[in-house]
Amino acid sequence: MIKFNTPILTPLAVCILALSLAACNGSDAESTVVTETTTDEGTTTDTSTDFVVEVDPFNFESDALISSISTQTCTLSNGDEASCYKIDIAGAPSNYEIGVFCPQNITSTADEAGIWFDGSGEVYDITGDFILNLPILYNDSHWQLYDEGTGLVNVTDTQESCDGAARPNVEEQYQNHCVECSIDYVDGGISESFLIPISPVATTQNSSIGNANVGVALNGVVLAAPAPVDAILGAYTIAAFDDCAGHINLVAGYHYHGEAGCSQTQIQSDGHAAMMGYALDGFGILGMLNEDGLEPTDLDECRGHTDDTRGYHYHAADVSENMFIGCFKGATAR
Amino acid sequence: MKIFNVIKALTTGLLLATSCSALSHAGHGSNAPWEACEEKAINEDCSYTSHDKKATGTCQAMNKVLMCVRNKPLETLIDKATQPASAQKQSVKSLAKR
Repeated sequence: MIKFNTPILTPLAVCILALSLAACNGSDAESTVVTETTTDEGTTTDTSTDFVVEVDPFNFESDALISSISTQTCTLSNGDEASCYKIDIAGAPSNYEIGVFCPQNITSTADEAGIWFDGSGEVYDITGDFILNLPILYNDSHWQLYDEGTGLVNVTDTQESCDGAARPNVEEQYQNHCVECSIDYVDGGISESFLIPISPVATTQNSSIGNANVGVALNGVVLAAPAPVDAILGAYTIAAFDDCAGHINLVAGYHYHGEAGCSQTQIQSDGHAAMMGYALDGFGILGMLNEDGLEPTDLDECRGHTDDTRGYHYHAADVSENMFIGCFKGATAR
Repeated sequence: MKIFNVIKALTTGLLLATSCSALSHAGHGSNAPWEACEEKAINEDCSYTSHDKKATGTCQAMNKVLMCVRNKPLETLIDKATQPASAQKQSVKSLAKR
């Protein structure tokens, strides 16, 4: 039976508890919250949706589409009959080459691999050091994404391994892999059709983001729902993104999970953040920051607001947040 | 002996409490946006701190799970103890301008 040395242990335990509590509360005790000090003051904004701007087909990059945008009747989620644009995207970015994803070995630098984000507010370069540091980052010694003998990173470098790992239910044999797929596995991109109301219709109740797509980027790439980070990390995998926050699987092809600036093709003349895509409800999605590096302070719960030029529109979240918008303000096509 | 047992139980309890506390801080923070909305309803205000940044927003459903969607500029938390006295009045700095 273990005997406790009470004269020593009791003060020790009290000290540990005190330190622990201090650690828990330290940031609050030592820090004072002040209100935002910077605002996007260039435009008059509010969060009403009285003023809407129609979808402009000419905002899309020409090579982003595999056919001309056509018009057809559609039924919206609120039951209204409306006119929608049918937009057929190429499924690959029209304005850049898809980048690298996984590092090859534990000495790889940031230039030799892509990025990772898990929604917690940090973007990581997937360097060799990042691979080495995974057990500490995720506080789990089971992480071992490389061969200790060779220093080579375990990468899903075949179509079969891509198929087994680039999915929510990662096959067990691909645990502890950096997951990447080649765009060649999907013949250069998976084209997809979107029906988007030409004139967005604001609804009285916002619609939640499901596990389907959120919208479409102006360069022909799908804006996907948040990546299933729990499933990815739970399988001890890193589903590497290229530097544009896109990655590939065999079902969706190349798609974005965050806004890294690569699809901001429509620069705004008034210094407002550039436009990067449309949400499925037809409202535009613009970048997070204006030309002065400022983020609006009056965004509503969907991350949208209204100004005199663009009407109601969204501002994408930071790439590290694994999302674009918070909800749909308008009705989507069924 | 009775006093010894009481002290032992108290010490064990304290150690367990501290280890639970340590475990709750052991994560990498990736769950913070979800944990911020664990006991809230949709559209309720929320905030969380992760990687020395404070995010403020509302709870929204993403794939049927509530998470805190930020709608205010990120703020960075600065530990007062690491700042010069002249800078201690503003210990949270907006990250919106980067």
